[in-house]
Amino acid sequence: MTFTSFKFLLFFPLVVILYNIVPKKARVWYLLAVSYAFYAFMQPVYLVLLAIVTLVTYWITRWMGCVDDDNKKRKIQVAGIILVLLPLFLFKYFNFVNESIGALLGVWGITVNMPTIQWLLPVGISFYTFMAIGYIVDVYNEEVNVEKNIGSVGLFLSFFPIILSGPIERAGNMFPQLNNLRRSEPQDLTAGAKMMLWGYFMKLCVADRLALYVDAVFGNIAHHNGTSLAFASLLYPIQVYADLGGYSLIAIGAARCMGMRIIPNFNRPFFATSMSELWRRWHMSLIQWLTDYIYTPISFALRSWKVWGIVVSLMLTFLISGVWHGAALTFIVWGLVQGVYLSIEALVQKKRSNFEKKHNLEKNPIYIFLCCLIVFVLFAISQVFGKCATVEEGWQVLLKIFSDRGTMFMDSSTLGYAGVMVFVLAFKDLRDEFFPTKLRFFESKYIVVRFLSYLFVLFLIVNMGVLDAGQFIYFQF
Amino acid sequence: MKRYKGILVKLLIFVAIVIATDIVCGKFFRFLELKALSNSPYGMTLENTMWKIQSDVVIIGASEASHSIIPQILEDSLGMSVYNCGKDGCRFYIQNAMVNGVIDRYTPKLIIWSVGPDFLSTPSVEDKGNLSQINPFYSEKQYVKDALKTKSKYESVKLCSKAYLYNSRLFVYLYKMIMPDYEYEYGAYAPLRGTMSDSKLGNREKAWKNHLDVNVEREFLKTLSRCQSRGVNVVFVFVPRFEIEDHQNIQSYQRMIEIAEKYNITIIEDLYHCNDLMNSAYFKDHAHLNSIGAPIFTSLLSAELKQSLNICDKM
Repeated sequence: MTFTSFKFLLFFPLVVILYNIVPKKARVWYLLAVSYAFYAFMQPVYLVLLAIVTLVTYWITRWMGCVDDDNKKRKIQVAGIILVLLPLFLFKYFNFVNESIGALLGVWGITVNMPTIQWLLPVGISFYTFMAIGYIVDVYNEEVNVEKNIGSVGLFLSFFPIILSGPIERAGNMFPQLNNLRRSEPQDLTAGAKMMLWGYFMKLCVADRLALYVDAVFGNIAHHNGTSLAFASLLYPIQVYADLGGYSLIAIGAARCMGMRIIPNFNRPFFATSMSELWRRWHMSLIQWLTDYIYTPISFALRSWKVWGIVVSLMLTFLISGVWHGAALTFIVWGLVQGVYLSIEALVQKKRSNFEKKHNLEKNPIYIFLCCLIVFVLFAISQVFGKCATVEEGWQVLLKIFSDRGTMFMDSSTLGYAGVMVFVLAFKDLRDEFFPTKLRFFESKYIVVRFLSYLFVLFLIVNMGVLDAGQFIYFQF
Repeated sequence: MKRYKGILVKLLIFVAIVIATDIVCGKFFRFLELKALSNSPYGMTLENTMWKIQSDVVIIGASEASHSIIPQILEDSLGMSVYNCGKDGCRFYIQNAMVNGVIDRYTPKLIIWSVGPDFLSTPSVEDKGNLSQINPFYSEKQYVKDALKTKSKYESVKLCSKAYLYNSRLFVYLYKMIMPDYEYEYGAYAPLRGTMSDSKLGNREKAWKNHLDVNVEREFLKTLSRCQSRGVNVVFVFVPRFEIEDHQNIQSYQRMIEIAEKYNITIIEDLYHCNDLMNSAYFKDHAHLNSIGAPIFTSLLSAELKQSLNICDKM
């Protein structure tokens, strides 16, 4: 059951109504049952795995809570992280690692038949694994208290709005809310519904519409010229933003309908004037997790290397980010490219700052626009590897973009709709970024304006959305 | 409950406004549809087929039909009016709806149905997605309802919305209201200009899906029975493809042969790999004849029709 399925549209209101009827003490167990039922709709057999990861996390953190010796605590932490990571490794990376070892040995003329696992990837495993690890580390660092209620731990890892594709939540944010689940206030319901409506617009009208064109081009690279590939490459980051950003908004809105505040995941990333700023606006929950649990410890350990310590930390962090996204060389290349971008930025940061101050460019709109454009294009180039099936294909696309000009592949209907939808999205993002108090539609004090704006977005979804079985790009993570 | 009263009242009012707006949208889109149809009859092939045409001979099929069979040539040869209802990307269910839409309104003398070896196999995901083109006819035609229900369990719920009926049609209607039918010729034939690029000449091997869809078969039999009961002659035609393939053992093909025998339907298959047509200069791609190959094929088809059906005597 995905968020865009009819089943969810029937399931969710029922869940919210019952949530508000159920006694307060039972709400955690109620939501846990609902979350497990939601997961069971998709992959009932892997519910067992989710339960095991939950039990391991609960047991490890309770154990750490009973131990005073820091050395022993560290060992328990490490053991816990390994145990929680094991299923992710087995399901997602086992075959890739074996194939890579096989390929490496093959270079030296050694042929080995490496075993493979032919199991379906458990949905959401990358997300709940990271959440479990984050909780274990936070308990070790004494940033959160050990949660004694196993229901809360279970719900934290399986909460149905966020289990499939995030945001990657933190124990520090979730447990206080889970331990004090209150009824939905009217403002929670309206705020949540608005977020969900806009999320559905982003997903169904922008992301899925762009996907029709992008998939048509990238699905047939040999037959499309560089111009079409370039255009599709520029559309792809917008598609991903609308897809994952829209999904995240639906998840955040769904949680808000039940009075819970989930961390945001996107903050208008295409207004970033640097790659580092982009990564503070794009998939924020993942980047925050990587920053807190990977980048900060490594950069602290390498602090004596000064800026080169930062470079190494960035490269390692984004290598892990790439690996997290997928068990394929393309994602590793994608991650490394991000790392290179950020490393270069780190190395020239001072010079850039001085240059901007010297020429008074920080608030210059043309300079800001150019920076946003350059960042967007660089990001789009890196996303080519995220989209292609192999690294060779990625290079082929980039080479064609710069060498094979021709007439752009046109599907006027798809591009026409996509253009209108992207315009609406861009209009809202521009307003939120630069004029947050002006042209308030969803937040207008006049009910007529609010109703008309909801009606307009609903019309766009029903009449211009792609309503035939779309899938979230991040679904298999 | 009191604190929810305000929000519930607003919700009810909003739902009422949504329903009213939806109905108005439906009427507005129907108006646009008819306007577009009157300005661009060839470009609005589906709508024209379902609402307007009265031709003696109707050509049904997907892109291979619309780009390969020239109504003018058939008209000159057969002495009957001909309209090409072929439409890109329209597989069985849309074609089936078109045939039923035609025979609902009048009795054509002949239906030339462009089929292929996998005609009765399960529609692909893209084919099912294309079904939304017949959404506007949902409330009018039972066979359209039956076809659309194959998309998903909840399709009939979605189709209660008039705005959803016309999903992704707005730009098509606006475009057709403004642009003439330059890409079509007489009788809705859409010529494909140019020849195959060198890169496409290479791999000509084609593997067919070997699956018979019982739902498709059932609807197909219903339609053929309707045609038979109304005295409509049907001919199955295999439009040439520049491919190396073997379809003799495909379930869908074998079943189609059986059905044709049962309903006494002529199958014109000789031209499928006819030597006269197996020239790359006659094809735009492996599946479609171009504007050079189409007239040659249509002339050969016309001769076959006359011979196979004794067409002048029968009609």
